[in-house]
Amino acid sequence: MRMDDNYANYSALDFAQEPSFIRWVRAGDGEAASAWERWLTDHPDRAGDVEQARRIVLAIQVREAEPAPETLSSIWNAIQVQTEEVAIKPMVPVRRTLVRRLIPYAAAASVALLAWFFLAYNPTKVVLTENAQQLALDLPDGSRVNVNAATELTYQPKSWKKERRVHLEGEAFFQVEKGEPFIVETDLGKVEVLGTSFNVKSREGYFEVDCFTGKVRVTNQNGSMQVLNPGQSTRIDLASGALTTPAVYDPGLTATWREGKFYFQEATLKEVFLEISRQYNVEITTAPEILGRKTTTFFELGNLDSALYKVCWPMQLNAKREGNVVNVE
Amino acid sequence: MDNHLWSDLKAGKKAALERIYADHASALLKYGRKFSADSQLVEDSLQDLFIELWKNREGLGNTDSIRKYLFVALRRKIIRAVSGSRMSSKEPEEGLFSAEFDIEQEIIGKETEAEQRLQLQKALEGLTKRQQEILYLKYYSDLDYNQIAEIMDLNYQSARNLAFRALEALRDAMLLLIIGFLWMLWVKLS
Repeated sequence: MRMDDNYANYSALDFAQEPSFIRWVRAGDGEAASAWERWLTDHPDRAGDVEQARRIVLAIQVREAEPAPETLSSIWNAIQVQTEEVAIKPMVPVRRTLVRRLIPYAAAASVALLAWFFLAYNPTKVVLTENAQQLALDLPDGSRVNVNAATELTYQPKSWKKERRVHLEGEAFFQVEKGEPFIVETDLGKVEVLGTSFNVKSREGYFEVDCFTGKVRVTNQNGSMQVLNPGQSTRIDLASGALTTPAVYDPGLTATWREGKFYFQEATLKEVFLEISRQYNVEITTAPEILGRKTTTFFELGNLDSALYKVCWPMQLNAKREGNVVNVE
Repeated sequence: MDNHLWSDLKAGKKAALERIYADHASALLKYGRKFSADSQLVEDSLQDLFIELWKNREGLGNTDSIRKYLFVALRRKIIRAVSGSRMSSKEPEEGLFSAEFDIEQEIIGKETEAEQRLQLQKALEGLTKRQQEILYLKYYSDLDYNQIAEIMDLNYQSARNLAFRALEALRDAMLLLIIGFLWMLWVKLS
């Protein structure tokens, strides 16, 4: 490395801003180091300024954590999902014997098909999250959805202007832009809103809606209907199959999965274990009578062992982990 | 190198997007976190930035530095999200950036008297948010003053001045320490 003659006129603050000088001080960079050391023996009168500059550079130490690799890869997964081109469904195959007979019509058919493609073809967009993956996405009108792990969300971008409708299997938090009715369909119930934010969980027979802002109308398959105001929630009562009367929920404990926190109140262990297995991508095996027990508990994303301990210890249960399988006794 | 990657991106090569993410995502997240403690907000902003980069790839202009381009875009996005509404997306005058400076490092720890360390700590805490940001970009993000000026929406000379004032404050706080060193040097030489 050749050293610039101008360095002779540098002040301490000039040195402190010189990239090769910074590299030398910081990392003891080999090439920069030998060049600077040589320069210093040639210019002993500059030792004071150089020392001053060295200390200034060293004083600038920022304390910061490196992002976790899982964080970086889960953001990339979400980018990947949303930059994928829309999936085209395979066409129904035509049997060989038919093909021959159909040849004369092929030209006409392809013209019709082309026309259909432009006029009526309405591809379905499918957003899928896997275990241990969450993502945020924008719908065509700017409404925002945070999707929890192991969830499938489908909608039709082309007819979005006519009808804002999504189908959900799993759990998601919606922030809906004002406009025409916005509908979330699930296998267990339907949620209708105008412009609001709310959380929907619909998994394995469990259905719950929490309203954060605006008004939310919830109906289930039996035609049972409830209107939620901000701060209220309803769920399907397992015994009667009806929606429960809107009740005030604790905002500190509700839909906190977006911050990696999971609270359960009077929930079955089955529900808790299912959430752990989704968030950590593990399989949990245990006796059926254990799954039915009720608990009020909490776990946080981060360490699987400590999550298991928090849930199991108060219930006098033991979790043994072997690879991706956890056995609870 | 940057040019090649950028034109691959514009041509719709997904591998280019992935490469750009791998090269810069970590630095971007660390920078973004200095504007908001809400890590979800920062991560969502980074995600949106790359999705928009892909969606708008055909309309992208040229850039001399991909890193600078991404820093500019992420900074705007987060400031807009933090200030809440789309209408008032302007950064407050005093800035939003906040870093944690650490003086417990080896060199300074060993050689420095408690009193002088206190002085330095005070000087670091006394830096304005804008001064903190420029030091972070200069010493932690591998960017030059031309690029930093663009990121912070300053002209080149203002950026140089801002950095100069910050470094000057640190130098002055350490003056006592330097005088001690010079005295030792003088004793050795004479």
